Amino acid sequence: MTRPDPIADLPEDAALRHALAAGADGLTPSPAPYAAIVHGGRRLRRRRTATRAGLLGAAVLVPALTLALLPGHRPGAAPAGPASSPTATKVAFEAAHDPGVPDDVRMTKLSGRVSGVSGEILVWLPPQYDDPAYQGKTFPVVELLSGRPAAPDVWFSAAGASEQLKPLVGDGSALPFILVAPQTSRLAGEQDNGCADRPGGPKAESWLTKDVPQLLLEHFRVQPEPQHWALAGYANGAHCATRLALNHPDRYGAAVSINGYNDPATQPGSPVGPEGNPLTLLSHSSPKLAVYATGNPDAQALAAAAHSPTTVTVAPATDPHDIGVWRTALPGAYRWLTQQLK
Amino acid sequence: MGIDDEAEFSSFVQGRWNGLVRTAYLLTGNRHDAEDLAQTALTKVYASWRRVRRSDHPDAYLRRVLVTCNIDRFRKRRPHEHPTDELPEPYGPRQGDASHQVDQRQVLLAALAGLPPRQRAVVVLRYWEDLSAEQTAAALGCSVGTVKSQAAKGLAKLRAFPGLHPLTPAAPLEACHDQA
Repeated sequence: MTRPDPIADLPEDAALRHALAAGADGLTPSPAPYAAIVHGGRRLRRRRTATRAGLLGAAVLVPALTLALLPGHRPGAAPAGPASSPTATKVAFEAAHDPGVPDDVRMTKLSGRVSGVSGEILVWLPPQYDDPAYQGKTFPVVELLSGRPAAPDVWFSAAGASEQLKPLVGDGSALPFILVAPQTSRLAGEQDNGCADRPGGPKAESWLTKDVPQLLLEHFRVQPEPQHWALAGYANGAHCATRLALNHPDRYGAAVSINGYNDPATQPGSPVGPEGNPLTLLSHSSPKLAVYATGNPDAQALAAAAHSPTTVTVAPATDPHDIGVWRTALPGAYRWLTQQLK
Repeated sequence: MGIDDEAEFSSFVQGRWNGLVRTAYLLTGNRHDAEDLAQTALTKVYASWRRVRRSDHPDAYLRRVLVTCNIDRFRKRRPHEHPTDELPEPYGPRQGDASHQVDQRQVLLAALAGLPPRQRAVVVLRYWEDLSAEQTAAALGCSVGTVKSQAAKGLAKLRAFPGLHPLTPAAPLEACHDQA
């Protein structure tokens, strides 16, 4: 949603905005009378197109959107993620909380079976997903991790993750990725979960690397193999993207780190110590993983520590700790991901 | 409608209902009419859903229907609201709600009730939904110039409303000077 023009946005308007918000926010509406809306809407339409007898019999109410109803289905290959339960989770979508998020981004709340974490997940499907030409086709996935304590919405509002990808897909310079941005922070009211499973804290690592992928594997036409999956993050989310991808090469084939850092122990209050440093992880094993890191000393160090088949591409520096700068790093990251995930 | 249309409409309703009722509350001044208005608007959107979802702007369409239905409501029967005689019904004293906040809301709604319906819609869409002048014009089916002049007139009327002193710029601005 666009901001009001600056001329009208005088300081005193803030008081009015505040008053209107106070006047409306406290209201708790009754549940939406969905059946009555549909009933009334059908009657209205019948009146408009009097002879459509077929509609009379169509008294099917759909109580909630289930993703299982989306067109097409994922062919063959069993999910490579954690074991699926016999009854697939029903997923209901709603609009994202941040009005700056484009309308084609949908939000759902998931109660993770593996982690026990309940959180929000924003999903964006490329326009090709519903294109008849792509019927039955499966899509690569980029999982976006926001920095602490930002909500996942920021990827689609300030960072423009979907709006920037669209033209690149349009001119063929990027693949039509499915973008998914899960909640990363305050999963259980904690200050910092370090994107890890820690005693006494939420199982953030399981949430991000098992439950969130499982949702996509069960309900969307995604390419199941890890070489078509990537984690991407900025700042604290960038560190998480690199570390979690190194820890879970069975799920991710690539990681994008925009202004990340290596040693989590340098972060005040981090529940993860130096054992979570990607440099330490790389000294123990070299999984099949491609990493794209924007150029700062930590990215250089990561490149120096990587051995085949792990590769690290150091990208031009994006220094300031600022969402606007991270935003500008995305097109380059998408082009690189297109080479990795195809 | 196909099953996908139904599913998308269901998701649309789930996502928009609460916000829609809140906007309608500011437009109508009471919860009963607000829910009624929101339901009427969504019923009309349902009847045209296949066309609306293809338009890529279902939210803009929904807002336009909401505002139009509300203005119709004003035309058909005299509104039950009066700016000074009676305060609109509060939406229930919630636990822990400071009474002066409830009073302020009632005063705000009474002040809003003093605006003609289109002016009131301009104020609510511009300053509650944070729409741009262009988006507001689209919702009302009028020009951007009309939105700007109606917003200015509406704001002036609200500021002149006796009970709305806490909303005027005086307090926050003075506080800023004190700190400076």
